[in-house]
Amino acid sequence: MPKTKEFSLKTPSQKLKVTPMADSPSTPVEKLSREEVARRDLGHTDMSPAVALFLTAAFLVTICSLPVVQHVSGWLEWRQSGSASKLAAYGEFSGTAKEMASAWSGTDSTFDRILETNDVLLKRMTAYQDTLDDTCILTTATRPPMQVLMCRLGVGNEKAIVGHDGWLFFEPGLRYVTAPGFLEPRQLLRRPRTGSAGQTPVQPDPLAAIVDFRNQLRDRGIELIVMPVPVKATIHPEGVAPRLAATNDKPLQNVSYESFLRRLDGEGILVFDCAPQMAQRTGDQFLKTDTHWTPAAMLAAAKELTQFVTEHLHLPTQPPANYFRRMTTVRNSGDIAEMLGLPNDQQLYPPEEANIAQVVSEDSVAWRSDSAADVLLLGDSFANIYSLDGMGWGASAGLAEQLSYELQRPLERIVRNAAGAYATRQQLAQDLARGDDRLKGKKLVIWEFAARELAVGDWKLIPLETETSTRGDGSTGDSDAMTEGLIATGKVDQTSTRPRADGDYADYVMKLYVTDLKDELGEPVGDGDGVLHVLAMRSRKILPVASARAGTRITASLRPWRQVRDRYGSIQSNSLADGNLEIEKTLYWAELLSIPPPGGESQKDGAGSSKQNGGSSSVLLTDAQKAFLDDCRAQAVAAEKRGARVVAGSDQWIFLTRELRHLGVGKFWGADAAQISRAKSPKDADPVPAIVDFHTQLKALGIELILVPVPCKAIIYPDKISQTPIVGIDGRPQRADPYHQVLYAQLRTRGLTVLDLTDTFLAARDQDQQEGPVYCKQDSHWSPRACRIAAREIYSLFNHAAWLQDQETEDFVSETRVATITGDLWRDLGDARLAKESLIFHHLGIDTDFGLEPVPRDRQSPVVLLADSHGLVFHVGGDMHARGAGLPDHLAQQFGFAVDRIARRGSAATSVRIDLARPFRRDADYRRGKKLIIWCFSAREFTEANGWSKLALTRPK
Amino acid sequence: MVFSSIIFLFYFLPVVLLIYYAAHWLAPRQVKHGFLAVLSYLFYGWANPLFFVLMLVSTLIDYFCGLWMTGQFRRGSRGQPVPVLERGGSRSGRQRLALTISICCNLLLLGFFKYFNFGIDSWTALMHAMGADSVTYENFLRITLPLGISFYTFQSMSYSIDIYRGDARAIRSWTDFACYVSMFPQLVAGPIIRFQEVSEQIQKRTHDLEKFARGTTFIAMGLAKKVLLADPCGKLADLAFDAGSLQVFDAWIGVVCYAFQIYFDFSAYSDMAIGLGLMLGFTFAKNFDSPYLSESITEFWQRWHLSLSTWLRDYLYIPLGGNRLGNARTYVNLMMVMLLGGLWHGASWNFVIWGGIHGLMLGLERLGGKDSFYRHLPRWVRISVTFVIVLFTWVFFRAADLPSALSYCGNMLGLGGAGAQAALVGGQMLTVYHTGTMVIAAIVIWFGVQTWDFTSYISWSKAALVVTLFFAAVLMLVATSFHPFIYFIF
Repeated sequence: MPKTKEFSLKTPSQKLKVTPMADSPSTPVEKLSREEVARRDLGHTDMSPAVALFLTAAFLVTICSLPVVQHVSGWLEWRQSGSASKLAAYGEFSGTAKEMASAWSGTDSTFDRILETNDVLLKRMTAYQDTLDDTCILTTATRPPMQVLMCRLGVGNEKAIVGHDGWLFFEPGLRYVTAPGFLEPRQLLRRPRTGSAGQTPVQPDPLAAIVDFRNQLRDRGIELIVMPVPVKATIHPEGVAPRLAATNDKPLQNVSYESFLRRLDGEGILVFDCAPQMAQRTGDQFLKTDTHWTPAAMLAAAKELTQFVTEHLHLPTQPPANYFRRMTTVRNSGDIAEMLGLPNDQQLYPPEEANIAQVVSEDSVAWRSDSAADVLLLGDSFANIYSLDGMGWGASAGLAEQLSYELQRPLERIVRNAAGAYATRQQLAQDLARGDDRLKGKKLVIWEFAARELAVGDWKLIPLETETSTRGDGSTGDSDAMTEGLIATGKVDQTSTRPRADGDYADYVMKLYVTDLKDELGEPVGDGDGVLHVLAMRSRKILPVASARAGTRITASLRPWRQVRDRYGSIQSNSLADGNLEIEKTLYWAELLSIPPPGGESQKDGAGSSKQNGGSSSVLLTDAQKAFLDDCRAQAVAAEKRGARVVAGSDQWIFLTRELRHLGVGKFWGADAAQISRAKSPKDADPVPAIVDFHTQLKALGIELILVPVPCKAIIYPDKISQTPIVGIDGRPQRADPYHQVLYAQLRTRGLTVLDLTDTFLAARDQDQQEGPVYCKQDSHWSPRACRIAAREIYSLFNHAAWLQDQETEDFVSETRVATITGDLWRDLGDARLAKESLIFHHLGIDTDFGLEPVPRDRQSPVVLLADSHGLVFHVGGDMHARGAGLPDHLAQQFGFAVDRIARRGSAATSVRIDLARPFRRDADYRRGKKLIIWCFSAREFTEANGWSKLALTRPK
Repeated sequence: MVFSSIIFLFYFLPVVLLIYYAAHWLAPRQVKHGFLAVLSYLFYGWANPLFFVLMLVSTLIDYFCGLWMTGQFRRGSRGQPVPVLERGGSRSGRQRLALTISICCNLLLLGFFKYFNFGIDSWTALMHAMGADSVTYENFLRITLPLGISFYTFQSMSYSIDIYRGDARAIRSWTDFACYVSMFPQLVAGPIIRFQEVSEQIQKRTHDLEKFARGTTFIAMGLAKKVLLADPCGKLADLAFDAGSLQVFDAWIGVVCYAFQIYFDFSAYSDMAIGLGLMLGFTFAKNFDSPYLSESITEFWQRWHLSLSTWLRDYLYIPLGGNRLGNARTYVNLMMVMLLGGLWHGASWNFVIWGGIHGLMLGLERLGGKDSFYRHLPRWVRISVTFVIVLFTWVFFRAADLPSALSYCGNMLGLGGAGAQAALVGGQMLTVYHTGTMVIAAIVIWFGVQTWDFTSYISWSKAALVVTLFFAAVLMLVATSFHPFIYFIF
């Protein structure tokens, strides 16, 4: 008879016997089995109906209310802004069927097909759940205050460890120190098995990778110095365990570290270990709330490294590079504090200040990586901090800069946040494989990485194979020759891993392999495909491009990757699944202009799809753009409320209220136009039909049209009107007019030529000191200099036109004068204390006995300038300030003959077209003589004009 | 899908309840069970859509074996009630074959998916040790372990065995059977529901407000145990077990935390499974009975993971002969059951050792009359000694591999030679939050009331406490990172 155990339940009436691990299957009748106990006990609970109802209601209301609130707020958000970030999870499934079908047809083996298709579905499901978690309103509302509570109780989260005395530690760094030795055989055996299914196992042995890398460099006669940078816990263990304060003059490394150094030494590899000196130095060597070292610690390391280089190697003598240091103070919140996700106004871990030493050349130009240098630095975020502005700790003061300063020689760098074990070697290998030999002329490679990588990094062996060219045309495939800012549309075929807001770094670059890449005219860009690098996360804010996936059609402004790779290549990124694409295809930097909203992928592909997409795509705004445009709107609203035509900016700049209003209204064409336009009739609110119709009619008459919208002054000088101007990583103002960009791209897809001067004017600001600004500070027009630039840009588009070849040309005389003007905005502001501005004029004309006579209007000219007052200013004198220095004059100089001018003060939306239609209708000869019409008007007219009416240029037959 | 996740609690569960009760009131049982099976497959396939194919295959095999065993493919059987085989009666060759097919197929599936990698690794290690590196398979196929395969395979096997033994009637309805095998509340981490336990409930069960309300309390308490106690304890356990060296005190803190974690984690899952079962009208048996109050290892197995221990008893220990074939055979049987029980948990020598220690202790205690050999000591000492023995076994259960386990035991005994790095681990452990959580966990374990008993009588104050704990758990759940249940990997 098996022994039974007696126990009592809390309910007095129930005293049962159950059979424990009995030896016989037969259960005596008087004993109850576990199942019978369950039936008896669970079937009857002692509670009142009211309690039962309360519990049930509380439970059901709780579990149902969250999704209801989430969906309702998402719907409201969608109603308000046209997108619903709170329902973004559903977007993760868009295009899944198509992608699964593609995966199914991508391979021959049925087994592989099943696995591939399953993999696609699994990824989408995982992404759905991740997004659901990230966008949950309860999560976003409660996580920051809960984290404050947790911090006060002494704990951080998965990534951030709360230490003593305000120290914060990055968990992988701490784990590196406390973990078993990274060279222990069982660790080397275990780590490759820790990855998830389908992932390539990691190569855990750093020695193998370093020796392999050294050997490959040695084959090319290049020396290698390895520089593991200690983690914070190595130098400041007292931040975690105060009792270690007494013994912290020795660095606390992983137990395998000594062996690692010995074995590298045995292999004859130079290792610069800065940890012992750091540990012995007094004062904080690391920022308290950041993963990285202080500027002082980095400076000292650079100095010691220079000494190490001098002692161990002999670099060819070079004349000193004459770099200088310029001290400045930066203030920022540490990355570990950011990882905690505390409320924005938290005081637990306030921002820290750091004094950085920016390295500049003799002429005060910030230090730049030099591909011709004989020293190459490979580095991770320890090299990036104080250099990559996006990290928030200033620029031009990173490890490369300091090392370059100490060595007083130029230096090339390849740095990348994250994955110090392989990311930079991989980048180097990819560049070599593309035919871009970044090791050419190098004598020394310094490889810096965080020591924690020794325990957690993937030390893959990467062959460095130099290709003369991987492409048939003998080029490296880089897009140097393309037009900067080229707007192109294409279809995403493959994407790299998407960013996560809780990742290790605040910024993230995604790579998109895009096919069917065409410019606005439908011409293929480059080879018709390419790898686009796009910023997908900025300051832990996921940008809309992160939702791009196979099949998504995007419109983007492209720039050659080579031109920006030093700046953007250092941001964290991951490779495409097919890494060969990054070797074989042309690389671009892209700023995304439009992407279809989630679920809007079902439009047909192929010809004409850009136009369709353009019509339905949402215009993307970064947070900075949104903040700036919102600021413009707020200033316009405030000014209109007090009846002010103008708004005073900083540095004596004055802005037109209507222009600020225009910038703040959002999308202003299509269905949105009627809501926000100042047109008298809603049917004339949308500028696109009138413009397209005008173009179509001209085309039918054999006349070319070029649209020259004059950018808004606030877009070129955002820093003069707003406290939230958009400044790029290089500190220069960035474009804040995505709506204009998208509209111009759409017009171009319809065959129009649009000259967007914004990028040109922004770039021209570099010479403002010498040549004066491109806009009048106190007038609503552009400056004489801008007229000259615009004329040059217009002419550059047509200088090879056949009709131009037969034209007689003449040279005009130019004369430079400086004059003070009374700007219309100055008058409107009514502040007599404000000094009037002076402008530099380049007068053009015919030299006569009475002086320089402006070029007269020529009605017979094949070129017609159709303009608002931007075609009159500096041209007609009087209230237009000057004669012979306006756009018609500079056009005459560029073309070599006078142009016909039809211009009006006020709007050029419809009235100037009427002025053109009159002679067109009256005089067929006049009409026939025209070859080009330049339609120049202020961009604000898109919303501020009285209306955009269609009108017939010729009499109806 | 995990119970302690936003997607389950706030999306999947409301949808399941809505569909289930709509079907319950509006449609016949088969339709209701059909919906439940489909939703359960969705629940299971969420981890990996391919897994559901595996479960479908396992279900099909046992379904057809069950029908074949009871002659349901013979002419004229259609429309007749499915017979229950005579208990202890003789069985035909067909019936034996059907049972053999069912057991073999289930064990083959389990063996391949769970033990293939282990086999390859063991072979490779052996060949390395023998210096025969050329016959190793280090880069051979790696198999992904399907979630909960150990649980539903045992559950599925119990169906065939119960029918064969005459303990239950085979199910003719496919949807009923698919619903039984795939039922999501206990699918991936138990408790193991034997077919005979629920065969009647599948045909007929009651749904009432009282049952539903008690189900909500089980879920609330389970979620609170998981999120508020198991996860924080788990963090400390991870810290200790992932460290290269530890001070003695920290090593003990680490393993105690793991003991707390695994108990709260697993019992929380069982609580939630029982609660979800109640909401769907099922009553599942208790799976834990204050195991750390055990005064011996024998008693521990009468309180820990009861659904597994009774399964092993009824389907392994007794068929092996139990205690009926003499003392020597009884000890062999005990050891074999515990070794296989260990191996059931995972494909690693650590689990075998874990089972072996338990088997050894059960044998030793059996020598002393199925009681601990320290039975003459005061009760609290007996409980403490048992707990310490259990702690040492948990080291093997938790450690990454055998050398790590031995090293950890060395640290616990002060033989580890802790370096300065060990101080960093200790520095992370002693926080207000962690210490507070450990104290509360200890109080709940040794002085608290089990969910089962706590919820047998629910007053207004208890209801308020339950709701408060539920809200606190939900807040903690959404505000912290995701933690899967430990038993998902078994």
